[in-house]
Amino acid sequence: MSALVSIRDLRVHFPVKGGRVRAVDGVSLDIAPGETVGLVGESGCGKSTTGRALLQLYTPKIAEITGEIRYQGNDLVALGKARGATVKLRPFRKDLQIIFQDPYASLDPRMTIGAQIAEPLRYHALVPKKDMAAKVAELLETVGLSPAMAARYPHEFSGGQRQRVGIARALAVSPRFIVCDEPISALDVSIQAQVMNLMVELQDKFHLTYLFIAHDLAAVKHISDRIAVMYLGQIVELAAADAVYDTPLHPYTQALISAVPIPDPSQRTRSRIRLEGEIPSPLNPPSGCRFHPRCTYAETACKTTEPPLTEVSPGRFVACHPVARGVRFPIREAPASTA
Amino acid sequence: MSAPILEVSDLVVEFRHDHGYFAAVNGLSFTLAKGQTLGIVGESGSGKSVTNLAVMGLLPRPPARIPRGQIRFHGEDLVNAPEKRLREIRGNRIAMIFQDPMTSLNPYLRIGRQLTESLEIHQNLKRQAAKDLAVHMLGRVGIPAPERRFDQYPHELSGGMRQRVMIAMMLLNRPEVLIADEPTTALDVTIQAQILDLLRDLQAELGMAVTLITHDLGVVAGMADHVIVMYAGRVMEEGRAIDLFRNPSHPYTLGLLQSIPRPDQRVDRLYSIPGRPPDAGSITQGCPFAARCRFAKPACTTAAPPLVSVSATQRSACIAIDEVLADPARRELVQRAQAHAGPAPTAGGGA
Ligand SMILES: Nc1ncnc2c1ncn2[C@@H]1O[C@H](COP(=O)(O)OP(=O)(O)OP(=O)(O)O)[C@@H](O)[C@H]1O
Ligand SMILES: Nc1ncnc2c1ncn2[C@@H]1O[C@H](COP(=O)(O)OP(=O)(O)OP(=O)(O)O)[C@@H](O)[C@H]1O
Ligand code: SF4
Ligand SMILES: [Mg+2]
Ligand SMILES: [Mg+2]
Repeated sequence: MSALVSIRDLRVHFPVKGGRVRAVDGVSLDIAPGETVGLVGESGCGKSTTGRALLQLYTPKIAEITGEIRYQGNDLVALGKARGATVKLRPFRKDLQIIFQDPYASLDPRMTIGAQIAEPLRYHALVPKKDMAAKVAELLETVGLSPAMAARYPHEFSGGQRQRVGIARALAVSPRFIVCDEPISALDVSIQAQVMNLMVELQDKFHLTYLFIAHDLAAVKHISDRIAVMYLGQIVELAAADAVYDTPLHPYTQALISAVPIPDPSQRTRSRIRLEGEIPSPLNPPSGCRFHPRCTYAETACKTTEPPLTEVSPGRFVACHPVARGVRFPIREAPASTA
Repeated sequence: MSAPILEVSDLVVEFRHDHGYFAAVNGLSFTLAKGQTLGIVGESGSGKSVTNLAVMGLLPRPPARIPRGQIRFHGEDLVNAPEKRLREIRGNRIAMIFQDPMTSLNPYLRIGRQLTESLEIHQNLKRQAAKDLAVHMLGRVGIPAPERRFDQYPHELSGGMRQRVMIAMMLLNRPEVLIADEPTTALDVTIQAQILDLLRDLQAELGMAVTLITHDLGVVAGMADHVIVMYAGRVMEEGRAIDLFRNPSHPYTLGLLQSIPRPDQRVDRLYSIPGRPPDAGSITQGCPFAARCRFAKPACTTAAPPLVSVSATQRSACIAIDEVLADPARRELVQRAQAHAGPAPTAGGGA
């Protein structure tokens, strides 16, 4: 099947005083229509930057972007750099939406919630004025908020309530692809479940495609078809969700899975793989494998040669020298049961 | 248990609203002792942040008001304390890590300056000494290349890095009470584990008491001695962490535990509590959970059930506890937890 979104060697660099932050540094990923790809990884590894670059939310002034993002035969990276980028990208803006990580920063404190949900509908002229209030009410209902809340301002909402406003706003324009940047982390577990169920329902109904960024690995496993694990600007493992969670192959993925907190107080002493060593900086990433200074299994080659993302079994990609040769590191038992 | 550092009793916080007031926090009580970790979990919008803003003296009054209840810090009343006194306590003796890091970081100041400012003010340190300490703490919260980050502005950091800068800022003051509102939700699990270790270390080192607000039941299970479960401004259930996970006794707690995704199973739909959380201010009498509760009886809607003891360490605000305890779904949940983890340890609480 051909991909809905196809990313090739994407690089997003931020020029800063005394260097450049290589926030995303060579990411390639095909996302199929109707698929959910989970994106996980260390805080600061470039997940949000990847998501924002996909939607061309950076101006050339802020970030240098290279590589390709193919959507419906167009390269969005090229369009973003072209003259008249705003106009050229406009047809894609409706299709490609984002739910922001930070629901505080993304809402306008002076506008009512209702007006903010109506805004994209008006901008894309999707709903006649007389039906607007009903549409906004319907969207609020959809995300589990009361239609009466439309008249209120953001500061009157709790963190989780604001997050749902963000979801309602992204859904408003009937997009095809949504970057969900930590859409559930501010919600209680019951509403998390409700929102994930809702996302799955909408996906089935409208054939939506998601890039789902989150830190809660059990939730990511539940909602994703495949999971991509990022480390310092690059994808280090990409495979079916169950495979990544149950039998992680990359040493970083193994450390990540071993640190998943278990909702059971009697398991406090469970061993986790502690990552030793300095957390490297994207200003000056380590040579060779970027994980090598913290990796228990590092070999000589790891210090000098960058391991390519290699298909080690069908559909299963890992960027690690020994793993590519067929070596399998022992896996600690993944946290199986909760509650 | 030693005398509590912080004592909240029968706290009511109301917000002005269309016509009249609604109670965001409705008769909440808890205590916090030296070195203890209190976990607060509950519905989004149930008043967790508002409670702790009240403790910090940071509620906007108006529209908020506290018509009833007490907040005592070492016995001293904070509800009616003058702003000057609150400023002495705030940040220094009681510090709060906010849910949203941008509310406490100044977007126009380099992060280094924001970190050292409070050290110079509260601890009278010289500039270089303050910088050394701040850089050291940035390293401890897992910020890579801390010296270079020192000169950056908040917008140049990822969400999780901002969160860690704020955590570092609060910990630098070595407070007696740390209120942590979703401190690690923006962080990946390895850094989360590292920060939680750091909190535990500082707790042991300083005897710091921690109030930990989180939606992550795994984090609560790993950190909290005592847990309160809130819904619509009230405590539904409270007890030792192990009690709530092994012996949930309130329908809402049960619903939360049932909603956690289970990585060992593939399901199309997750369990979620039916219905929608109540609108702010819509519940005036009765149990706030009644409309969504599968155990509800007519009596539930007439008077709010009081917290009653389930065991020496656990209380639940439900009039149908016996039915809840006999519920098959609950039994399955508890058995599964036991099968996976072995029998519950007798000494609950501290890690
Ligand atoms: N506007 C910017 N200017 C300079 N550096 C930036 C900018 N935006 C992001 N960065 C840097 O890019 C890197 C990746 O940031 P990004 O926000 O993508 O991380 P993330 O994986 O989403 O992390 P988190 O899980 O903490 O949200 C970080 O080092 C961050 O400091
Ligand atoms: N400044 C305000 N004005 C009016 N209402 C407010 C204000 N701040 C909070 N509220 C309301 O008070 C209630 C409790 O909010 P609070 O922020 O304490 O929730 P929370 O339990 O922290 O939720 P979350 O888990 O989503 O952060 C909510 O109904 C919210 O809408
Ligand atoms: S008191 Fe009644 S309505 Fe409230 S939670 Fe218990 S059983 Fe349900
Ligand atoms: Mg991010
Ligand atoms: Mg809150």
